[in-house]
Amino acid sequence: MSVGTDHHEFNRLVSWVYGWVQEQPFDVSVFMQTGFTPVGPSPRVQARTADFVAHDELLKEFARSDAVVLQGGPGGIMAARSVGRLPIVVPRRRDLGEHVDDHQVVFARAMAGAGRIICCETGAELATVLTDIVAGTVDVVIPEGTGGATDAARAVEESITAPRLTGKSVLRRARFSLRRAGDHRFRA
Amino acid sequence: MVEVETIQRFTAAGAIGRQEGATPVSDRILFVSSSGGHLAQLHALKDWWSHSDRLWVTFRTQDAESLLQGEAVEYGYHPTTRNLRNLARNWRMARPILRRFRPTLVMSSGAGIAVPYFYEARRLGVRTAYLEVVDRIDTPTVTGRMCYPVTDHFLVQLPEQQRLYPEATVVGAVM
Repeated sequence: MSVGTDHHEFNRLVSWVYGWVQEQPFDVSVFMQTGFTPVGPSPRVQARTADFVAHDELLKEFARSDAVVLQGGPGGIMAARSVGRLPIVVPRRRDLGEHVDDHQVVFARAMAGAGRIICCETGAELATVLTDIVAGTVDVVIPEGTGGATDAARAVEESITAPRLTGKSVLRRARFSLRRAGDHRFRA
Repeated sequence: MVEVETIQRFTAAGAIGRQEGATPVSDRILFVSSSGGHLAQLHALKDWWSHSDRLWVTFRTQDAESLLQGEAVEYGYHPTTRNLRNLARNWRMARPILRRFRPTLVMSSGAGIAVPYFYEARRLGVRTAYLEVVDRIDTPTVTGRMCYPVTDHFLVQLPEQQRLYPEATVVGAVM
């Protein structure tokens, strides 16, 4: 489990993970990257914790895990997928003080829609997914590498052969960009 | 005014419009990017750019140095957010880099460091491509909005982002 490096706390994710682990009749080996979330030792769960780890270390932890549970940030998602794990993502919420806005929620839902992650927004959903992984009914092992990168690379290569921008387009787009100038704050 | 010598060199490199088709677009790519996620998302397109000559302009941070080992890199000034001094310094870096490297394509995923390069590239007739970061779905990034008017190939990763930039092409998530 990784909460990332954001300065907000993410106690909800930590407690959901602890909660599920405690329920299991078997031992679960847990590693938690806790960031700015204060995490005390749980009386019933043996977890290795670290507030921040080097990127290589994090990749190693992901690669040796059966399940990788993350906040809704692109960095962690890319890292997990690069070592062959379909990440389980719980997006941080603004209303619970977990982030400045709800962009993680929007992002995680879109990424789930694109098949890149499993998104869980309730404790029950997360528990179900973890149980399913243990039961083998959900497979979170994926090919290593950055998933859609090859397809995206091909699409980029095709796109850049299109005609260049005309002067008229520049003006039209400039007007468009200026009209959106008031949208600098995200509103959920 | 652009010097005649520069025009000749850019023309030879196929980077100016009227010589289009003389050199493939991907021949010499100048990547301009903040370090961190912006850089990682450009780097992820390796299947495409690995056959090209390339130069990276980014920030000297641990992740950038690690990711770009063995690559040609120039380091720009950061932070760029609300920092006019660094914007000016980055702008002053952009012209000689474009002149020396003679890219056929300038590409970025943000952030602020991209702006000078995109406007200079437009001025010089060099093709530009911008990849919006994958996690900005409800609002466009400031840099994306600033570069949109002068970007030949504006690319987004998820279909949900297309309503932010109606003329963009969806290339799919790079992760």
